[in-house]
Amino acid sequence: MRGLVLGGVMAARGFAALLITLVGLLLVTFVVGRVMPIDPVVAAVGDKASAETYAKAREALGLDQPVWIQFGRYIGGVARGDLGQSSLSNRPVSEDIARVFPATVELSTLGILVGIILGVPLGVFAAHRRNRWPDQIIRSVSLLGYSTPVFWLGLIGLLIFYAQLGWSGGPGRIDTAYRYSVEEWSGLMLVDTLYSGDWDAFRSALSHIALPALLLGYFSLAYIARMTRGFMIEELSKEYVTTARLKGASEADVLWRHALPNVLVPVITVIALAYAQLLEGTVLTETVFAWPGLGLYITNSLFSADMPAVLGGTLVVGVCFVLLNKISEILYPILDPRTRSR
Amino acid sequence: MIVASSPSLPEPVGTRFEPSSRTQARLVQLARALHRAARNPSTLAGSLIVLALVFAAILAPLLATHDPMAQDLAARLTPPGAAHWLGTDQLGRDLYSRLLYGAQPTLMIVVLVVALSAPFGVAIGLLAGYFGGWVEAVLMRVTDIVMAFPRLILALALVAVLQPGLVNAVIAIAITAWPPYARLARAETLSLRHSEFVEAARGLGMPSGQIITGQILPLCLSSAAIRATLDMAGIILTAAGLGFLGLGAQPPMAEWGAMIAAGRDHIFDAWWVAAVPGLAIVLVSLGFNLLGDGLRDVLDPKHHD
Amino acid sequence: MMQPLLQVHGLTVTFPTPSGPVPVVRDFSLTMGREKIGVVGESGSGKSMTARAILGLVRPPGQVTARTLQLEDMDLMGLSPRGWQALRGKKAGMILQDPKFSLNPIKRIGNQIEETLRLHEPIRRGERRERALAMLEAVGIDDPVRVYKSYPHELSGGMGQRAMIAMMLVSSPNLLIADEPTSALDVVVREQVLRLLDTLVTDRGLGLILISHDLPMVARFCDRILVMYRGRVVETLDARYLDAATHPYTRGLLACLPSPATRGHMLPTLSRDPSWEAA
Repeated sequence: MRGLVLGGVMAARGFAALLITLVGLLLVTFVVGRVMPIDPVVAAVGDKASAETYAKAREALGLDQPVWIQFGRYIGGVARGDLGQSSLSNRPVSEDIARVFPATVELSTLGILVGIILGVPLGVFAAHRRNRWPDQIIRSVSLLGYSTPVFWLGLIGLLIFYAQLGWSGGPGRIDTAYRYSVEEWSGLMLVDTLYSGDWDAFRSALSHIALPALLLGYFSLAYIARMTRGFMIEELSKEYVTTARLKGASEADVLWRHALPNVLVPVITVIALAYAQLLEGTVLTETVFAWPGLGLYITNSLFSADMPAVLGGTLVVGVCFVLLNKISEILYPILDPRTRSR
Repeated sequence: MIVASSPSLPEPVGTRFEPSSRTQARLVQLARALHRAARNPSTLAGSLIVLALVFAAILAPLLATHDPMAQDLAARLTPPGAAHWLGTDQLGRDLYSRLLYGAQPTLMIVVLVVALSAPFGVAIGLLAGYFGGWVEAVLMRVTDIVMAFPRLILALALVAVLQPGLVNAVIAIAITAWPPYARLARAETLSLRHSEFVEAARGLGMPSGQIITGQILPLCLSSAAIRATLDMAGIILTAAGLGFLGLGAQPPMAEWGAMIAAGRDHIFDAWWVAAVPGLAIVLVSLGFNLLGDGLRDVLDPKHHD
Repeated sequence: MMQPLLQVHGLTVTFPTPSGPVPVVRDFSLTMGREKIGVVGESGSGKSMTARAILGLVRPPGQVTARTLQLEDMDLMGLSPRGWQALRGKKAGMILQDPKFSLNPIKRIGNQIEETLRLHEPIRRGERRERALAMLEAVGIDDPVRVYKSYPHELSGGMGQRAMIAMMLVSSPNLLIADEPTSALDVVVREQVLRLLDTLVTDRGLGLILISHDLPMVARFCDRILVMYRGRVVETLDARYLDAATHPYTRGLLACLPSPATRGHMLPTLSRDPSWEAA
């Protein structure tokens, strides 16, 4: 009973912290939106409007109110899903984002999957062969990943695998021939082409996403492998590992059944961070690969001074950051009995 | 029962050194750290690369073979060769010379961002850690919020409202870069706050300001320095990203990220225009990463691996 | 003549340091049957490393050499990793010092005991469970079903150490090494765990190597005692005749013990002599 109450208090406290962080995020975008040198009224009515029209528009936008009321309205709007009107597309920003976000989710999810599937085993292996040549190679590969600009590697990748070798489908999500034939169902191109049963379209979509996804996968691999290695090295020095060996466990058992499950909590945290970084990195990757996702939307809006769109996109990525962290926290008790409150 | 006295292990080889003054002790410590650093291949490689960057930035006017701004449309997109060692760009400008001059904004951004963000972050962390209570709660909550924001995208939005340019890029990156220092300094301060020498200083009536700057700050510096070195690689990549999007240094100034963006349109027929500045970015951030890794091994014995 | 359980001759363990290899165990020899051997020494004397070397647990860069290292009829020198895996847990087990660290924190006790069986005996799940529960009962746990389902952090130190013993004995090895099995426990529990260990070893007819820094405790439970100092065995004693010790180190140790006769007097401290190491 007491544990239950305690658990409830902790959950409430965690929720409150989450709420404060989210309001903080809103405050930052609100402030950034207010210091902009572009007058939002002029952006709305044009610079040839009369003083009367201007004043009316100013009132309509709520800009005659005190700052804190404006902020309150802003929060209320965001809570209702209102991120403002895009001056570029002339539609609600939230609608625009809902349209482009699946493309970003598809690309970054595939990227993080590559990063997890390769990065975790490589990190475990590097820890096992610590300071020998496999470890040195894995360390160099991940150090290189830490040091390379993603957009540049994307360009070089296009040059080699698209222009020279012809292995990649090149920029965009799918060949133009299929662009309008695929029925939109989930917004995820790979899923939609499969769902419609069009194998040629699926193959085309795959050939387009493979290069950017592998590229993003490499960057998250670099981070995940390096961190996993560090956690595993510390874990392998613990006494229960000796106990496992004493029972007759093989080195593979020691690594995969004993040590790795014990470091899953920090590894999951690292994966969540890597995923968040990928989401953010899409601003650059999507530009290089002409990938019509949130990143490209933000950069395009930037160049047309469409601040509501830029801030709306920034906010969505920020909320993803916060939620990813929260999700990894929720997973902890499932993975580690010591963090369960009884 | 045996009194479990630990056996005295054999003394390390070499005579024990007894420093005769504080300065001498510090110098010897520094010399030992440098010695260890020099034997560590990654620190050595890293410092050579960073030194090369500094030299390139300072000596660019002497080392350049051409005027980095001089256009020569007749020689546009020339592949690397004798006349132009690394080829020319779409306006016929010499890439080797532009590469050298491009070291200047890169170095400037790195130095300025660290100079702005590290002291600010460390100060926030020291105050939070030393005073605790609501000061800590407020400061660390703010830190967490800024940390929760995607760095690159926040910098992007800030540059967009401040107008693109080198100085604004520095400001934007600095605003997003300080929270890790605050966390680091707070953690160090927390562990020192109740240590005996701090209690002693407080007992002697030393004012808080003096305890923070005189007693605690010096002990936070080495971890902050390691963090800064590792951070520099990230700053270079962020700055290059802003430059690539056209939000950093403005043309015709030679900036590596912007140079890659210019080479993007010609990537399939003149690959070197984008490849050359990209390689420079990789090399330089690799240098900072190697140096940071090495420094951590040398200065922070907890992290030995 | 019956074959001895364990034969060790000239066992040496060295670790490389910047100033050359340093021996941690030097020329250790022991021939034992199904008897109780005590190994006594201060921390750093090499007693734990000796135990680890016998079970092939010295990891590189540590190096183990020996003229003979034989368990029953099996030569352990140059044993393959697979050979070691088949041996550990099945033929020989070892109890580590502190159950707080030596049990896997995220696996249930039952699962950890069954792991030994899973690795060595091709039996079905239900039978494994029964054997694990029976073993928990055999180590004196009143509520085996609850402990079976518990995680290590939910158990007391004494319970944890009983579970550790269960893990090592469930597959019926012939040799058991106990490395300071009670020094991390509460004083009250120590005696219980020691008595349990003694009963199990006697009833099952095992060979036991009990490693400790506590000479009188070892003397009460063991038949023979090896005294180690700086990586070397300096004296071998019959546990019944501690007073027959001749080596100055052992004599020094005995003199430091409080007894009714020393009441009211200051206990002497041990003064060391570099010549003990040369031996």
